[in-house]
This record gives sequence, structure tokens and C-alpha cells, in this order.
Amino acid sequence: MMEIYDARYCEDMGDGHILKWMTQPHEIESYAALTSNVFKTDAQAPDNAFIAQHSREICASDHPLGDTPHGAIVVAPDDTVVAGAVLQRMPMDYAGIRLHVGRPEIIATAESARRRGYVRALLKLLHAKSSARGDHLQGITGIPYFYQQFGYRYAIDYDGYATVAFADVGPPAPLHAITLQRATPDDYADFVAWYDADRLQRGLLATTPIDASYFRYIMGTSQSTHNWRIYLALHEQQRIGYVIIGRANWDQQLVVHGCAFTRGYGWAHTLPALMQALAHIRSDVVIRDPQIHEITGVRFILDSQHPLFTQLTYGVAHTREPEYAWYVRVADVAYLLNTIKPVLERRMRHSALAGYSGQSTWSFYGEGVTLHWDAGTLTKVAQARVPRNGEGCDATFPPHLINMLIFGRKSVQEMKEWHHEVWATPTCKQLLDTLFPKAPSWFHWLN
Amino acid sequence: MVSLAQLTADTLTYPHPLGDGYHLRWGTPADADAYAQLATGAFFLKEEHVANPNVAGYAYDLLSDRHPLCRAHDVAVVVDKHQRLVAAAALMRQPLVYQGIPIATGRPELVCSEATVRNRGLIRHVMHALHRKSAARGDLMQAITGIPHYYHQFGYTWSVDHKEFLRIPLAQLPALPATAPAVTMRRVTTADFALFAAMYDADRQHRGLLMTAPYTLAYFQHLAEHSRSSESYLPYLCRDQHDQVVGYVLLGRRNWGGVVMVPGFGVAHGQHMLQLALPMLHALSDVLGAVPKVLESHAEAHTVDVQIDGNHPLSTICTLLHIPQQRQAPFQWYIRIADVAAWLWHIRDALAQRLATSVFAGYSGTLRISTYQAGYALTWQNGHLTHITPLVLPADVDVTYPPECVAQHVLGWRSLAELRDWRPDVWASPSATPLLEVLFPKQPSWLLWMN
Repeated sequence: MMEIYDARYCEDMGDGHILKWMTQPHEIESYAALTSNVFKTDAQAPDNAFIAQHSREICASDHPLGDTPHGAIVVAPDDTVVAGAVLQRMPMDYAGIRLHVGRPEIIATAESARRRGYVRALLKLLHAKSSARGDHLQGITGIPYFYQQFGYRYAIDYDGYATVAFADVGPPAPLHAITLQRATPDDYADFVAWYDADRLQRGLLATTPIDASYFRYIMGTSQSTHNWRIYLALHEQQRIGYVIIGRANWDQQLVVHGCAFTRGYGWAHTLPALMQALAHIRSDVVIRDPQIHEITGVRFILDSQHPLFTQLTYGVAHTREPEYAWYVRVADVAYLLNTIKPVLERRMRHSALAGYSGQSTWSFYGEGVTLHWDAGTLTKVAQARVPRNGEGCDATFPPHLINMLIFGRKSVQEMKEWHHEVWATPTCKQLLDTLFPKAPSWFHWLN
Repeated sequence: MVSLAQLTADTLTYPHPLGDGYHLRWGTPADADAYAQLATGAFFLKEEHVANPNVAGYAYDLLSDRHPLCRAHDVAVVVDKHQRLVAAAALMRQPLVYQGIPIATGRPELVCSEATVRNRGLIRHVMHALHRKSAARGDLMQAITGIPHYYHQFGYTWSVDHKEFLRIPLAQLPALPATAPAVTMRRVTTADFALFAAMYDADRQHRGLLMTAPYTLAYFQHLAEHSRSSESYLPYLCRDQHDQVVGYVLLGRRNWGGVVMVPGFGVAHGQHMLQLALPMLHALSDVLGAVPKVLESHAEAHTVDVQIDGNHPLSTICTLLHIPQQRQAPFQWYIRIADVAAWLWHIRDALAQRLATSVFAGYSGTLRISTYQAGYALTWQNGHLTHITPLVLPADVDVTYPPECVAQHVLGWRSLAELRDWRPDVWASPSATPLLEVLFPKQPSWLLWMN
């Protein structure tokens, strides 16, 4: 029997509609047309050419995060795509361990084809493919609430937001002025040195590594307005840091997705200088919305712990919005824990449980996992058959909720305060607290 | 098995066939002994490996037709083809007041089935019947304290803290100072209701609590004179050396492994808990020995679990007086609100009060709420909720809650910011956020079991 992740797989969805993998150029074009219609800014607006361009890029063979086949589609009897989604590869750095993330993206269904279970069918294929290629998890930043039904839980921090108007920040002292220079594909080494220092030296748990191929792709090949531009910051002709900027506007703001400077350039001095430099390059930003005529400020979309957010509280007029979070799906907890074993052993080694030996079984109300420890070494992690209500287990979690713990978003105690079914023996609670300390993340989109 | 849809279509005809010879019907007092027997087996004590004698009296009470919060016909029972009772659950009436407004609340309780009939969906049918009955009699919500995780499938979510307590070993109490009042305890009689109610009502009304459970004379009398249940508790009056009533204690009716529950612990008007807490705890030692053990093998009573839901002052007093205690995290009430609009409409006076004392005094406007599955437009005029109309989704709204978060917010369990932090699919517009914070502030509750 053919596996559903096989590129030849197809399934009858009724009424002449077929679920299949997207393999043909005309299917990609039809999918792009679908996304351009579904993601119109409003019903009267013209089709969204920007998302169509982005859809084509993701499905192009030279996209460094793409895969073959690119995604799953439902086609109507006339061969038009009425629903579709792609599965991107997203690299993740989890405390020094590289994890593979499958990211279902640009999920679209024609209005006339909704409420037929097509998204459920599309995700079934994408999840199977993601699992078959060895992804540890799937992550989505999508429609609130909707994806919970597919086993996703809000488990990884997804960026804080602050908006600052150019007019509300005074000019920098002349000595601190900086300029921004658009990076070229050859600037990867300089960029990644600052970028990696930024993501690795601030106590962040899950971050997004950017490798050379992706950097060169977005700085060279990509035309998508959903991607970034990367700038290098200069002070007195010396390169002192990096700034990542969205290619397109967000309302009347340009968007900063990342920025850091060499030690010695503190935010108290560099924030006014950065704002001034950003004002100078605002004409680089593509304004997608015809109602917007001017870029008047900056929207900072950074991890919630970013020092810039603290600096804003010292006399800078700004507005903040609550953080969102990544939906995370982990189909095989044992596989994930096996992969991050060195991290778990390191945490154990530096804790009061150093040298721990024992076996710990956790129930997820239906499934479970058992960890075997010997003198501080995680010798085995395996899926476990557990009683339905977790009787006899060392800890219980509602299904999928452990994702929040593994990715440091919430502690066991916090989870217990929200879900009475979260329970652990005193020994196991100490073990869980040791293995999964609460920690912020900065895991951002790579488009 | 009969599907739920079939049951819904003909739900008012009982006994209702469930297939395979099983029938669902409402209980009669003649079922009381069978329910008691079913419960003792269903709540089998695994550790001790014996049937649970503790729930027998409780089950009997619920089906005896003498319980003021549950009549026999409020108990759904499933019988097999031999008319043997194999599954059952009661729908109690849980007394509940929300900021002065009584809210009719159904409480499914003592839900049980025989081990041999499980995994056939019988409890799903029972719960469905209870929910329909609850709605038919005008209940605006249902509350249950039951098996973790299990009741989510029936639309319940954790929404109210319950049974946070201080575990106090009485042998380790500090000695009484010579100047301390000499407190003794006496079990109440029906004649003590007014005295007790005055203290209990003051306790629940003066601690900034949102939801509480008032006593009625009928329930008080039931506890004092009729109840067989060891799952309930008895009011005791505390008297000082001048025979003046200075406080009250609700004392559990069972000793489980040496521990006895104390769900209520309060003082009379004009008295000070700081002065009386230690003498009252000492006085408990004198009555603890009379509390029956659940099993003969259990230890003599030596410890009390004093319930401190709703910021009870005993917590601070224990610190001040160096009373050894161990804090136990709260259990939680599962809550189900099937008709959000009806529920909000019922508490409109409380909402108007909150607006009147806020920056939104005199507010007029519309607040559009989505629960992702249903939408409501709340129209306000001069600070009063004038009507609630359904919204067809998708629509522009001011706030969205996942369905399971509505009760958590409107019952004061979590603030909007806390909900948003936990569940980023809770969203409110910048202008609706302060209004929602005023309408539904975080506030503790003390919602006692009324067993």
C-alpha cells in the first residue's frame, strides 16, 4: 500500500475533488492564484499579487527551505486548486541542538470549498511527510484557535511587538550617529557573527539559525515582499551590527525583525541613532497597501526579552501589544527527547539531581513516554503504554500540553494552576523542573 | 448502542432504551440501596483493596428523596436487562451566589458505573440526560468536581479554585497562652441555624469573594438531623468560657487516614480570628476523636485540612503565630456554561454595578464577543446592559475567547491578561480591553461543596 507521503498519493474527497501532492507547474500556478484570492485584504480588493509571488517562490526548486513535492492540494474536477498548503523546512536551534521543524504555511481554501474537511486532509498529508523526513515537530503561526484541533498547542514564544513613531524619538548625539548599508550575499560571515551572538548569548532556548544558503537566497534571489532585507550598521565607517527589516510595510510602519550591535554600543545611545537611520532607508520598504502613503515609524517585532523593549520604557513614547505564540505539534515525544538528550543530561549534571538514576513514566492521557536514567545519563527514552487516566505514572499531562514544558514556555507549577490534571510525584516534579526550566525563545519566521 | 442523536430526538421519554438491553431512566427511592452498592464498588479503594464504604451513605442520601438539594428523580440511572443498576449520576442543585445574584447551578455528582459496563458510552448518555434536565429546570451552569481530564469531553473547563487547604497536625500546635480564650465546640442543632447563618454569611460576604455557596435552613436541617453521608460536614459552634458563641467550624464527617476536613473556619461579628484561631484549632482536638474512620485500619484523627479558598485569613495567621502547616494546592471546579448569552444577561446587575464604579460609568455602546463558535453583541445604554443579540460569525468583533476560556474569565478565575498569556487565541481590541477588565475582574471565590 502506498504511503501517503509518497508523491504519487491521491485520495478521492468526493464530488470529483482529489487530494494530492502538488508536483506540476500548472498546479503551483493554480495554487498561487488561489492564495492571491484567499488573502485579499478585503472582499473588494484586487487579488493579492504579493502572496502569489511568495507562493511561487516557496514552491520553486531553488528555495532553500522548500521540499519536493512542495505541498498538498485539493483539486476540483476542472483541475483548479481549491485548497492547498506547503510544508516548509524551518531550522531550529534548541539550546545548541539542531531540530528540524516542518512548517505548514500559506494554508488556503477557496471560500466555496470551505467546511468540507479539506484543511484536515491537507494537514494529514503534510504531517505524514514531515514525520517521514524526520522532522521533530511542526510549527504554525496561524489563525488563532483553529489549529488546536490538529494537535497543536501554543508552546513557543512568538515575539513581542512595539511601535515607535519617528517623530517621537529625538535625534542622536552626533557622535553616535549610525548609517545602514544593505548587506550583499557576500556579507554572510559578518552578519552571522552578530546574529549568532545575539541569539546565543541572551539565555534564549529556541532560536532560528540562518545558514549561508538562506542568507544568500534572500539577499540575492528572492523577490518576495514576505522576506527580509538585512542591513549592516555602520558607525564612523566601521561595521558595528546588523538590522533585519521586513521588505514590506505593516500599516504605516517599517518592521524590524532583529537588531544587535557590537558590545559598547548600548541601547540608550543607539536607539535614537537607529530610528534616524531607519527613517533614512524607509523608501526601501514596499508599501503593499494603496491606502498607506507614508512610513511614519517602526514596528519592532523581536523576542519578548529583547533589551530594546526595556530601553523603550525609559522615556520613549511607544505602544506595546501582547505576544503571540507558535502553535507546536509533537507527534513523537520520545523521538524529540532522544534528540535533545545532550541538553537534558547537561541540565541534569548542573542540578541538585546530578547523578540521578531511575525510571520516570509520564502519561498524556492516552499515550505516554518512559525515560530511563543511569547515573545522570539518559540511557533510553521510549513510548510507553499507560493506563487511560495515568494511574501509576509519575506525571500526567493533558494531551499535547507537555509541548509548553519542553519548549520552556510554562513551568510545571504554572501548568498545574491551569490544568488540574497536570500532576507529578514530588520526585518527578523536581525532575521535570530540572529538565525543562522556563526560558524565553526567539524563533522567527524564515520565509 | 443508541446514538446521542437518537436520544436527543426522544429524550423526554423514559425509560429510554440505550441498546443491548440497557435503559436510562430517572431514579426512585427504591433504587437507593442499589446506588449505594454501585458507588462503593465504583469508587473502589485501590490502595487498601476494598470497596469504598465512604460513598454508600452519600449515594443513599441522594436517592432517598430527603436530600434538599437532590430528589430521587434528579438521579439518572442505567439498568441492564435484569433491571440491575449499573451506572448512575445525580444532578444536585449547587447553591451559588455571584456577587449577590443567585445563579441556578446543576451539579452532576457521584457519577459512577460498574467496571464491567464501561467503555460503552453509558456515562455519556447519563451526562446528556443530566444536562438536558439541568437546562429544562433553568440552571444557567453546571459545576462538577471529578476525575481530572475526563469531563472536558462534556464541555467542562477548570474555572474556579476549590479546596486549597492548610494541613495542620494538631499535635504540633503551639501551646495556648494563659490569656487565651477557652474555646469549646458543640455540634449544631436545627435551632442554631440563625446563629450559624449570621456568622457564615458574614464570612462569605466580607472577604471580597465573587462566588459563594449560601446555606438554606432545609440543607442545614438535613445536615444536622438526617444526613447519612460521610461526604458532608457538620457545623459546630465555638463558645468561649462565658458561653458566648465566638465562631463556627465546618467539620468533615469522616477521618481519612488520620486527616479530617475543615471546609469552614470563621468567627462571629466583633470577634478577632487572630485571637481565636489557635484556641479554635486546639478545641478541634477535642471533637476530632468522634469523627468516624473510613476504614478501621486508618489512624486515629490527628490532623485537619482547613480549607482556605478565597484568601482565607488563616493562612496569614498561621505564619504570624508560627502554627506548623503545609499548604496544599487547590483542586478546581469544572464549569460548563452552555448558554453564554443567558448567563451574561442573568448577571447584568452585577455588570452594571462594576461599570458604575469605574471609568466606564454611564457607558453606552456595543461589545461584540466571539467564542470562535458563537457570537454575541452586548448593547449597553447609560451603564446598563439592555440586550444581547446573537452575532453571525465571521464578523468584526471586539474580543475573542476560545469556548473553554469564557467561564475562566467571567467567573473571575483568571484576568484577561493572564488568559491572553496562557492562550494567545484570546484577543481583545485595545478599546475593549479596559472595558473587559472592568466587567470581569479577577476575584477569588469560595464555592463550598454542598454534599
